[in-house]
Amino acid sequence: MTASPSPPADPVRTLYVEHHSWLQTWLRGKLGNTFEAADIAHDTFVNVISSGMAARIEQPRPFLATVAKRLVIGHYRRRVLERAYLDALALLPEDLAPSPEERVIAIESLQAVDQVLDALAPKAREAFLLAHLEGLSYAAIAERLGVSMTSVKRYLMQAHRQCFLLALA
Amino acid sequence: MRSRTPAPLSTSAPGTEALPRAGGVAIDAAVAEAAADWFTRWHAGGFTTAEQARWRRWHDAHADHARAWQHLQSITGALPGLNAGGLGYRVLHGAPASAARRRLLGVAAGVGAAVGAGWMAARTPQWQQIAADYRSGPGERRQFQLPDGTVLLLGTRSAVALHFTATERRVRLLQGQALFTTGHPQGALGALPFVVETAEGHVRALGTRFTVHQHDGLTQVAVLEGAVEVHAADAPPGTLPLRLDAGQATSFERMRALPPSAAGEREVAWSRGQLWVDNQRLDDFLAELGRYRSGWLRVDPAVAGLRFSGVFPVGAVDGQADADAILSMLPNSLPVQVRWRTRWWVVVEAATGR
Repeated sequence: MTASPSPPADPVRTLYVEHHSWLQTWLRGKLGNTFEAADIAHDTFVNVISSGMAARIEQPRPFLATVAKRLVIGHYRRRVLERAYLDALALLPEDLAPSPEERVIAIESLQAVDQVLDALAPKAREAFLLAHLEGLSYAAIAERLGVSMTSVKRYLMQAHRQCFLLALA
Repeated sequence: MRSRTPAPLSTSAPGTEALPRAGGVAIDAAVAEAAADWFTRWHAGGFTTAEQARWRRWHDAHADHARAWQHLQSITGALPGLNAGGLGYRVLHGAPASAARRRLLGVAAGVGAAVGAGWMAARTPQWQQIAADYRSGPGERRQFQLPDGTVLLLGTRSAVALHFTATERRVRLLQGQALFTTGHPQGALGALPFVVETAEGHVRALGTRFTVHQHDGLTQVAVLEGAVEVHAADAPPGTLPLRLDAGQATSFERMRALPPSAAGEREVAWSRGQLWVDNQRLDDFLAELGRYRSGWLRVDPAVAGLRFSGVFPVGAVDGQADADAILSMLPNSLPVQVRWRTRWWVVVEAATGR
């Protein structure tokens, strides 16, 4: 009987076996919720696997914590936005109220826009919203934000670049 | 009447690296940049015949150009549909937080991560005022010595917070402009890197004199002596920092830094009590002048695009009086009149009469 060499350790599997339980416990402590902790822990590993970084991580726990924190922020940010949408919905007149299907689409679209605009400075973000949601002219935006035309054009230039991170689903 | 169904928008999965894509297909960042530039110009107020021809040449030069253009049209075309009843704007603009939302925000903060720029209160003016260790008011120019011997010269309406730690000498420029002459203290302190952080990223000093000016989502850096490295906060991972040597300047946003250009008088004249204007639009100039005084300074759109040049003295102590004097002299150079509605509400408009 020949002895077969043991297979090389799979870095992803090693990472999971050694750290998944720790991550889930850590998240549960921070979030106070077992299900959310499990979801975020799962998403963290999916994220790390798809990035192809698993083999090259030097300090696994701080790295996993960093990825998890980013996902938690994103997760809560989307929930905050959804809450804001439902609050604002209550103020709409009846004839403008969207159907349940329209609501789901609207919330997801707004969440995507919100995420992509996050990279912009507050005034740049505001200029984009005023231009494309409220339909203001660049001169009106300059007046409203108390900045020059040159700044408005620069803000919108930055924001239009960000639009390449959005997709029509 | 029912609002039309909003078109569904999505982004790449949260947490993964985002690359620019047009119509679902990856495109070159340079093409995205050019398309954004053309689109903004067109969106601002349409093309002249000459611009239209230049745009057409760019658009037809490559299938990627046409695709990038189409992408921006589609995405921005889908946005008004999200705003039936003003709903989308109210949500994205950030209506005051309800109790439910404040609770959610509290949990996220409890995870201990630094919240992203623009999301929570960290960048409000009130926080900046509280956080500042050194500050100057409108029309002031003030010099301080930092604990490591660095000389800090603050321009008008500026604020700096100190964050010296065990691993670096970090200062945060909260607003305005500053000239740093870095100190070289003896011993361990001198070995620590000197870093200036702004909303857009950070600048690492490799010794010795440089200016930093933060405003409107842009940070401008000019090096007088020595060299610095510029790091944009949200630059793609693996981006090398931009090195600037003496005589060079650049501007950077959160996403990226522009290639270096020659540093001119404009970047440093303020430190000598001068305001340098070089063929500048009136509205841009007044935005700058407004920093030297308190109150509102408004310009009529009809004259906002007038250009002029000049060098104006602005003293260190009563810059406000100097700024007011400059305003009063504007009608000598331009067809404008300056209307002082009150001491703190000034409007610059087209001159009436002869």
